[in-house]
Amino acid sequence: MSPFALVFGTALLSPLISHTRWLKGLSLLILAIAGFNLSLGEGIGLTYFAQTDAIRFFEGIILIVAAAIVLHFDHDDHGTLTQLLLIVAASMALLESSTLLSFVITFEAMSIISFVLVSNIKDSKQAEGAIKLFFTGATATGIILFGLALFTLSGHSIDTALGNDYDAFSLIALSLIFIGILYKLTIFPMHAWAADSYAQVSHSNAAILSALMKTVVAVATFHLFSPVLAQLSMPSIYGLATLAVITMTLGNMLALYQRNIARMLAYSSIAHAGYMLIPFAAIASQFAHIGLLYLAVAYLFMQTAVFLILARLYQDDGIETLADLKGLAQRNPLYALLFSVQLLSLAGIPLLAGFMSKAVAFYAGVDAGLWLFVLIALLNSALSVGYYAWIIKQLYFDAPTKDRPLVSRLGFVLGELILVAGTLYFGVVAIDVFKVIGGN
Amino acid sequence: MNNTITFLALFPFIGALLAFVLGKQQAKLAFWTAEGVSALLFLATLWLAYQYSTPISIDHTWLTFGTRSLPFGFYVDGLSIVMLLIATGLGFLDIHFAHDYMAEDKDQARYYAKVLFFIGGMILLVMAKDMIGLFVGWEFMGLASYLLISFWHSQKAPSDAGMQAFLYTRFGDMFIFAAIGLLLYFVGTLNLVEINTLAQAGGIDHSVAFIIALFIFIGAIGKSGQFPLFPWLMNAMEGPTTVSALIHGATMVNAGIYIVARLFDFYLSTEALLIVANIAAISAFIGATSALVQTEIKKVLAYSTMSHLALAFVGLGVGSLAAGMMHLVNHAVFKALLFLSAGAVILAAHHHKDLWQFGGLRGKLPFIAAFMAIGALSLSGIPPFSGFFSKDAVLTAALRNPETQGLIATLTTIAALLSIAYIGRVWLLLFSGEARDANLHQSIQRPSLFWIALPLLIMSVLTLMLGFYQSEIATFITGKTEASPHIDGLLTGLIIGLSILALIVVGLYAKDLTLVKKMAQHPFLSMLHQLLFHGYYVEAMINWFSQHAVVNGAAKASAWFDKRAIDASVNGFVPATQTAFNGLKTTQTGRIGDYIALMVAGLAVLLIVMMVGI
Repeated sequence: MSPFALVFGTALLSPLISHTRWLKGLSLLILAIAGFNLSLGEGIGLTYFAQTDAIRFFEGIILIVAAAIVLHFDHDDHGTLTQLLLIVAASMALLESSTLLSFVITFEAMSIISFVLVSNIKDSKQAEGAIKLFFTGATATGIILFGLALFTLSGHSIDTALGNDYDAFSLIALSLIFIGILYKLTIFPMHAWAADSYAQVSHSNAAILSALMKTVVAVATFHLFSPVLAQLSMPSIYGLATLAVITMTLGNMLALYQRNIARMLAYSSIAHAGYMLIPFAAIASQFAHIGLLYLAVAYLFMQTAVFLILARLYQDDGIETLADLKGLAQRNPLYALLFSVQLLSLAGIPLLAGFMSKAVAFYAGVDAGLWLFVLIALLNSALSVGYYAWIIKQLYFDAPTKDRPLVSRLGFVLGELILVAGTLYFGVVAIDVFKVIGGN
Repeated sequence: MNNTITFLALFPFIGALLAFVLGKQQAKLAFWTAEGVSALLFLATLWLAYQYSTPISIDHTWLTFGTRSLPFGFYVDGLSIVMLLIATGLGFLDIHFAHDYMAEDKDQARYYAKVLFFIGGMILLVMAKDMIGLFVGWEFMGLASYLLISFWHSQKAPSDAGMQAFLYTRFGDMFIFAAIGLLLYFVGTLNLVEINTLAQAGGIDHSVAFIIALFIFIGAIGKSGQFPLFPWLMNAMEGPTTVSALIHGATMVNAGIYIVARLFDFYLSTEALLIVANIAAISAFIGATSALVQTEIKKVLAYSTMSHLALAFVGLGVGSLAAGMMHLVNHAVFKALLFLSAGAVILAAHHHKDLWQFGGLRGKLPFIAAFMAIGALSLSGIPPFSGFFSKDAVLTAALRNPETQGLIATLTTIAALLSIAYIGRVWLLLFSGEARDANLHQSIQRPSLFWIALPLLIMSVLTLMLGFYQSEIATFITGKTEASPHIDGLLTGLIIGLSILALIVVGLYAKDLTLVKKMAQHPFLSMLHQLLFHGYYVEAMINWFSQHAVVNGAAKASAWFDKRAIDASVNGFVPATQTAFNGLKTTQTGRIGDYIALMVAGLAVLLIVMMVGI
């Protein structure tokens, strides 16, 4: 049975047992079986969908991370598990989409599930975040559909794979679609909603939105659009690279002096979107594929982990600002350690996934002749240490303001251990990612 | 076979983690985990040795960047297996011994975790196929050595000694790192086997090869405590004796010799071997003479380690891989025996280490006296103990090589002969004569037979047995048939020299110490004593140099630059980022209408950019 059908079917049937204790265990079991089937090389198996080794590898990573997220939840919080499973299924479909038609449909499906996910509103702040996500999503959908209409008008069919010989008119149509998708990746100037939404919706939802969905969209878009990107001329490539550096500089600058941790991480997510755009611009390099895949894998582990930790800290202790974090290492050394490792990885410290992925992506940039942009990206990476290290400083070197110890939760810790294992593994053993692309 | 190698590479680290986690629950569990893990490692190595027929090579790439890739493979041949046997076998005995030696320590989890981590580093080093793996193992060991020397970190002396060891070896490591860079750039391969074959075929530019060989040797000097980077080894004796025995006597300090032996064909093709021989001869002499006057048991052994490692280096330096490696193997066993015997005495005497406090222990610790005597005889080079054969081979090789016949051979012979003097002095001061400190003598406890005496017994038997299998082991290591070389008259000369020295030492130290005390009053002799006692003031010279040239010179200059140029620019950058932050913050209005307007406006701009491109 295909992993997609398994996860999708379970998601559809899950509301039946959503009020029992079984759903969490069942979800883990289904994810494990799906992972096993995936390892046998099973894809969706429908027309308009195709699977490559890289996609299969990334789907495996998604299943692992989804398991960590499932472990994090104490109980099914108004269908969140159902929506998570739906998103995982939609992610697989999106990743395997081989035509514009299937891509746009699954992309929209994913957007709609994300609206439902954040609709579990508990206060006005969350409502604001959800509304912003919805409106910008709707606008982007309009742009994408407009592009799709133009593309059809230009005489191309939307149910074949994208080629590499388009006239100017259809390229404009494709650019429109591409730009519409960039909103999901929170690329400047479509980033503003993200800072609010990520910071305002509940932190575990922010983990799914900012890590899982963003990386899936990035990998799937690259997968589908790379023939078109390769056709872009130098000014357009420089345009993309400029967007990348503007996005990362903006994200890092705005994160630098934030006091609210969720907002800081939201901006850091925008900055990372900028890094992820570098391989798009570096399409001329043979390392662009692997650079993006590596960034996505590393980012998926790190970003999910930090937002889940934040969710746990907020839920158990009401921690929201940097000042609340003070002396956490004394109250719960394990949480502080897990948090610090992921932050160091986000900052790009060697032997952690964040470093290796950036190294490969930036190498692709240099290989494609974009060394000036890569230089700015490197400076950005150095700048970002400023705020990540600042969080760690609060964790370890400041006296706690509360002396109540924080009790570790088993499920959450297990999930975080999975994520930290991923961060460490892909920080040391780079070859596994390289093997996926083949050739090496 | 491949599974065994993977097991050997990974299991120590898993074991270290286990020992730490379990040991935190219950202290005794840390010991049993370590004992079990090290026993399994030793058994795996034995299995590997039993199965071994031809060199095993496992290729693995760590990562690839374009045309450059970083390999991380394993290569196991006779040399590796012998080193593995030393590391895991002596490691196991050492851990067994530590059961009693570390029994009173509160932090056993930390101790055993670090020791297993160390063994893992050593295993990685000797199984590495490439400079990368070798360097990783090398650094792991350096870290473990630092952590274990400063194991009692709440006291000042051990933590200072750890720091010193780290800095001295780090100084050498920089050169290894530089050598890796040079190899990658000029030679294009990091594969140790390929480097050897390339060098033999003349595929490496001569001057480049010389620099690389020299750089690697500087790293080896640091790790193996050779002149002038030896003072750390003496201060490393502040660590637990079990650590000194394993790391600073039997295994880690051998890494420097191993790396030269591993790249022996490469060294043969350069002129760097002569430099190796020269440095080694000086180190052998300094070590042997300084060992004569030390007052702490472990310091004598540390200088003796330096001297004997230097003998092994001389063996390599004069062109005999077999002689050098055999001395390394023999030395590892008998030095571990001597260190652990000393440890047994120190344990029995409640951590007193000053030789002059002891005396007449023969009656109290008869087994230890016997075992230490066997170690001492082997160290002195008395047949039929193992030390005799390899020392003889090293001297023969040195005398046969026309380039090293003169000064190098002389210094080496003096160093080799002096062994009996310093180790004889230690043994006599410990075990013969009268007790000099009655209270201490009273309080001496008999150590446990199973935990303390058994490992010593095994090592003593090994020391004796190794002597009979010298050429077989040498053949196993080098892969060629090795017959013991021979020079007429050398043996007789050595025996006569040894006997004279032995008589002098017995005369001075066996019963009546008045003559020694009188000699210490003599102005010239006391000056000489001071010079030797402080290891020729090499440490003071290094300190002086680093104080004046490095700290006051280069460091101050760079501190000035750091403060005026780098810090100033960073400090100047902060207001700029703050301004940027405040400016950008205003774009984040929070109104959804603004965001969508921005999106659509951006869309227009981007489309124009795209169209320009099209």
